[in-house]
Amino acid sequence: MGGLITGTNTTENSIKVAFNSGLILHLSDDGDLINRIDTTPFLEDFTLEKSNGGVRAALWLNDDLVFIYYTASNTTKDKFKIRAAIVDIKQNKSIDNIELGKFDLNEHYALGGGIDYDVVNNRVVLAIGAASGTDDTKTSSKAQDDSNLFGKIVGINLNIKKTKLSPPTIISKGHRNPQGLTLFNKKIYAVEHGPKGGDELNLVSQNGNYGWNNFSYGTKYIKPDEEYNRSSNKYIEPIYYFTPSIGISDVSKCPEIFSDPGYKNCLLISSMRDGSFYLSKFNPDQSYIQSMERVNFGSRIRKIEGFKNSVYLFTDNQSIVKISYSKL
Amino acid sequence: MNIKHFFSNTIKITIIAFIVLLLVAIGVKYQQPLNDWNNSTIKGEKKKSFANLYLNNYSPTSETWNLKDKMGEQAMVTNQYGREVSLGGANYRNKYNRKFN
Repeated sequence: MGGLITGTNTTENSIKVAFNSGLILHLSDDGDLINRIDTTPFLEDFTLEKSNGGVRAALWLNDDLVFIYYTASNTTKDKFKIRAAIVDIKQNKSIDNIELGKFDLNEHYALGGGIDYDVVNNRVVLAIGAASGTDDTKTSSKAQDDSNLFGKIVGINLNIKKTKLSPPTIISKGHRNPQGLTLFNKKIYAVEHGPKGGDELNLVSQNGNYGWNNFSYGTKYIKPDEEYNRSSNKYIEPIYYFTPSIGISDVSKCPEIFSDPGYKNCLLISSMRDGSFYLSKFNPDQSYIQSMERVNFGSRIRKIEGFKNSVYLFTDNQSIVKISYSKL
Repeated sequence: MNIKHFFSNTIKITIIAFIVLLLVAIGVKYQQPLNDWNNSTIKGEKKKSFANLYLNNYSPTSETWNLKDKMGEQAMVTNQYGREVSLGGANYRNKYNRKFN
């Protein structure tokens, strides 16, 4: 039995985990199961038909309401959509549901899924992938097309009660396959998979263009390797990139205990292929990275969270590893 | 050169050759790359899990919770890397009577 972890929420007393199958587990801070919720009956036309399908991201708006970004299909399963919903997991009902875009059967790759809540603007910030096929050089030009939401980071405003979704507005474009996103001191950071190499950490700015599918530090999926454009004033460079790819998977704030001078501006980055996580240390105004320190784990990490004195790793073999640090 | 002198030189050469070979063997056995200092433990530094140079200022402890036994009994197979994916509740299929591929 399995499933990919696509959303997490760590609080003082509990840990919540969402899977791409639509399952949500609610655990105590000791790891005991409190509740198990199946959200799929409340997700309109939910499908887990293809690779990367199902729930792509989940965000807890409060204890009861969960924002879910997922894939949907018609009954014949030849037309697909990406949708966003608010589900009340206490009363077991759908609160709101909107369509974000349509894609074809061969475009199930790179649907993205980074997500966080923007307190200042009362909005969900959601990173949507370019919806490419296996040959993403041909089919992912959507990321540069302002008429759709693919390959974009969007803001979805909520009403005061967080029960109504407004139409999405584009924050930035040119993203390939975002995997994680966090707001850190009012700045948006997102990580995304490059094509072959070129996994990126981006500092997201309003109306920024991050270059996909013209600009990347990865190479095309052809042999011999062929580079993308790596120099352009038109596109915003990643603030850090990994070549070869580490299989970048999530970004989160560092736990509060990492408070030594120089580590107050610190983000955690997790990786699947590299089986490790990284401490990325920023300069005081968080505009560039001063150091990137690798911590080996040895297994694929899908999601990561820093909370209080602990780093929580959510792995691809369906386990949670809580690493608690205390100062010597 | 008499025979005595010949054997004396031979013994000397043999001893020198043996010492050279011994030094080479020791060098091969304990050779380290030029940048080995990068991987070695610095005095005062402790090697431990979930740590790096900075995190050596901290003492990490870890615990692992397996979620598989908390995910319910029913599973469905998708082509998501050939994995089985949990349906959610144990009675999901009966309750909602929905079929998946």
